[in-house]
Amino acid sequence: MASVELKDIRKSFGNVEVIRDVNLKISEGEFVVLVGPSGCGKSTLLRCIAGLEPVTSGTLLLDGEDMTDADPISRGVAMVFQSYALYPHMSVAENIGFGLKIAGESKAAIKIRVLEIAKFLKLEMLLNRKPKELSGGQRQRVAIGRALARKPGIFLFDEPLSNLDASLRAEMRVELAKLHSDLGNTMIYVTHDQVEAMTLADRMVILNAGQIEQEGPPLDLFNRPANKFVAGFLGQPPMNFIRVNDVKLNGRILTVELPGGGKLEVRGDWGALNGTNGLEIGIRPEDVSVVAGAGKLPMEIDVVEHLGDQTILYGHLDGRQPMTVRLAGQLDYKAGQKLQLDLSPDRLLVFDLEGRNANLAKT
Amino acid sequence: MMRRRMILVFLMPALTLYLCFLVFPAIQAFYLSLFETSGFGDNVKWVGLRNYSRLLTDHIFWLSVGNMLVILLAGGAAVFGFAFLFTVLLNSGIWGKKLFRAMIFMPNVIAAIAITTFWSFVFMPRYGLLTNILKSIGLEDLAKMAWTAPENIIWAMLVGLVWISTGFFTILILSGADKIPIDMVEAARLEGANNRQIFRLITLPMMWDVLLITLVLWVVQAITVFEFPYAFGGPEINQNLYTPSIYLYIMGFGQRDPIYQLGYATAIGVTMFLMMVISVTVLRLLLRWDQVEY
Amino acid sequence: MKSRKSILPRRWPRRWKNAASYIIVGGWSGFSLFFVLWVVFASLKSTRKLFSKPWSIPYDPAFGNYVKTWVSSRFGDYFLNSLLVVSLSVLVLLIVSTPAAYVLSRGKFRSRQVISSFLVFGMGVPIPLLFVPLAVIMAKLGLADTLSGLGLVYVAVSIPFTVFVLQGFFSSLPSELESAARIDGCKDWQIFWHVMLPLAKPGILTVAILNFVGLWNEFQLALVLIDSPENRTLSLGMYSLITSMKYSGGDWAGLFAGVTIVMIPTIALFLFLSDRMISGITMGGVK
Repeated sequence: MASVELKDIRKSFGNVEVIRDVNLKISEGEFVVLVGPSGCGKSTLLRCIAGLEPVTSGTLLLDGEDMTDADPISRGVAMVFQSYALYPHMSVAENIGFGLKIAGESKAAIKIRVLEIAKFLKLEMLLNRKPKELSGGQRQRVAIGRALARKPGIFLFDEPLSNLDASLRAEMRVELAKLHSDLGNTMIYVTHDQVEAMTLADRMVILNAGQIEQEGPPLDLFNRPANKFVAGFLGQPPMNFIRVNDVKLNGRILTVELPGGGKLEVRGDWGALNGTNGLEIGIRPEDVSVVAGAGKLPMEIDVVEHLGDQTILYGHLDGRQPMTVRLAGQLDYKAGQKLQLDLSPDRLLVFDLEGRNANLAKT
Repeated sequence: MMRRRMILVFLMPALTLYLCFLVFPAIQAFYLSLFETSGFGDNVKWVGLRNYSRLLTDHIFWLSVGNMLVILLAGGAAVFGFAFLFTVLLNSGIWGKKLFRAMIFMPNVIAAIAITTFWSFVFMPRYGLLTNILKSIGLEDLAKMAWTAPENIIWAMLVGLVWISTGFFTILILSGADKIPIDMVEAARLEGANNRQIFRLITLPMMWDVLLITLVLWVVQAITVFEFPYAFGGPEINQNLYTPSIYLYIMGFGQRDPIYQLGYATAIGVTMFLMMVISVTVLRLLLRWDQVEY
Repeated sequence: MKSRKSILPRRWPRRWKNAASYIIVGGWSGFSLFFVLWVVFASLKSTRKLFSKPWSIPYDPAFGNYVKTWVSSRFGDYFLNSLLVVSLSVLVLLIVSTPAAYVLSRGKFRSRQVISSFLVFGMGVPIPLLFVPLAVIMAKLGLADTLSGLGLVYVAVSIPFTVFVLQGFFSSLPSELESAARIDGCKDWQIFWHVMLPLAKPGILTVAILNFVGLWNEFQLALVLIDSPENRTLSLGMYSLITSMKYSGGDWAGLFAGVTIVMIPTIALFLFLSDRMISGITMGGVK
């Protein structure tokens, strides 16, 4: 078991700074997901934790010990790669037992342990096969088995489900969650898929351009995003951002004018707000409702998507700002229709000029 | 992450052998060419560039260069002509491409000296296979031609040389053509391009880099060719078969009568090397080494 | 495999175009086959019959030609010499080139590109340039006229091509395997030994065959470095047979027996491994 602490980690490749000033504490047994768009540095960060890449500066502590310069084997980490990286010329049994063989374990001990793991992952029938004879899901389990073999303290996963097709992905997600609850090891998981992140994480870390935007339990990040990036990253379809005018602040109440003239009052703690320019309202498509008669926000529909269990309306507000609405069920809307919308008051977020969540009560 | 020690250990043996038996001798060749020596100890005489000036007026040397050019140009034209022809035919959707490809290449795995015996027999005056065939189909006059007479011998030799070399170069050109994605050809066809246009506008440009490499390989081969002509000519090889490398060998090691003009021989070698470097540079410039990205 | 259209005139019906292709390609290929058959047949006739009936099939094969060539013309000895020198050279070549190629393709050190280019550049050195200097060096090392000296030179001149091709092979191996091996606790040489080397076996085999064939057929360096008959390789033996023919009358049949002996090993290798050989050449040439 191991805890991980990253202090002021920076990583550059030549002149390109990929990771800047990352500070993170991971406790024993946590399932932490590093998520972010391509190129945000999450895989690099994972490789630094693994010891596959040296950090340019900063300190890495594992269980309180400084492991910044240690090689992977001394860190007690195991890794499951995106393309599994199984040794093609070795059988399943040899793949799983490889780490033990390098560590000098006896053949007998290796055999016992390999069998144990094979049973645990239901791989007994496949022990003599080569990786190319296995399906994607089976290969993934072998990769997990190889990681388990040496009883590591920390498990690292680098986008392990990206190579699987959708149905298999859901199945494997559940298996990974079960694995964590069975073993209880610290697990650090990298993905670009927010669904995986939301469902698997005890704690989620959102990375952007080498920096941590926000970290915490998934629902916290979903409900109380620290900035526009986090708010827009989670949720599908993504959050609407509406530019507003004529902002008036009166103690706890912020009054804004929406496109189309409607007035909106938002309750909150505006202590950190400096200036009323460039404010935006954030509201998720599922928190918008259509009203008959007069509503706060007029919208014209451009495209309607029928998904069977929901209907999504893509359209624009007065002044051509885009707007998306997600409604439950199968509804009969047409392109060109004009609607009046209402916004759920306790789901409203306000973002300032720099994209920060301006409402201290909602962070 | 490789430790420095492993890098050294892994590289050293190969590098050492390479340096000792290839690089160092090559450099030594340049050095030796400035001397006149027979290699037997005492008579090593500095002559500076005299060997080279001697080369300039050596008519045998120029004869060998002329022969080399015949091989390079006439032989090259034949080899590449066949190579392209076979590539196009093999790629026209006929059955057995791999089989034919292998059979066209096969002569290349047989030793040059083994092959020369056959071709010598073919071109032997009066009793050779060629005269035999010509006689039997009634071309008596042609049959009387002396294929191995000094004026003709280089052409006789060239036939055999082209035969061996075609296979190798067909393989290279074929692999270059195979690299072209079929989608591109089909897209062009959909847009109405005919076969000649496709060849000129798609096939040829996309094969350019392979073409260049193949040309370079042929030029190098033609300049340094030794084995086939030497074996074809047998002992006391006719001067009309000399290539620069054969002349080098004779000057350095003699034939029946040893000559041992080591300095002069090395100068020939250096000149060959320079010819090679110049030709390759010219080729690269002429064909402007652009790679087509896809 | 989808078909590509031919360049023959469009107006010809497809069947005729194909027929023309088959004739041309088949003709040339057939000639290769004819060559082998004719030489083998020629070797099984007496010289007189060879001249009188060059196209006949020998129904009473004169195996004595082979016995003569193998024994009195010493081809048996030459065969063994070649086998020894070429096999050992290829072995040493592989032992020496594989680690070098690995380090040059997957290592990270500043001089990597320079050393790699330096080695590959050797492919452009014309061998005749080295005739004289190598003869001199061998004499100085006391290796003149020895098979071991020849073997060393064989290894050295084959290194550039071999390292070049093997580098290509090593580069094609996914680097995630390296990461996985490091996580599994492998040191740098263990990654090479347990993971990379086994996976490079196809490339190593290819390069071994190509070099074997090339060195088996090699003639010019042997000519320069070997003098005494006992040390002759097969190609030198062949040449001496050709030379002696001029002075002892034309034993052409025996000559062709010699040709057969020389070409059988490489043709046999080719029959079984032609695909591998051809792909090795195209990889080396096209890269």
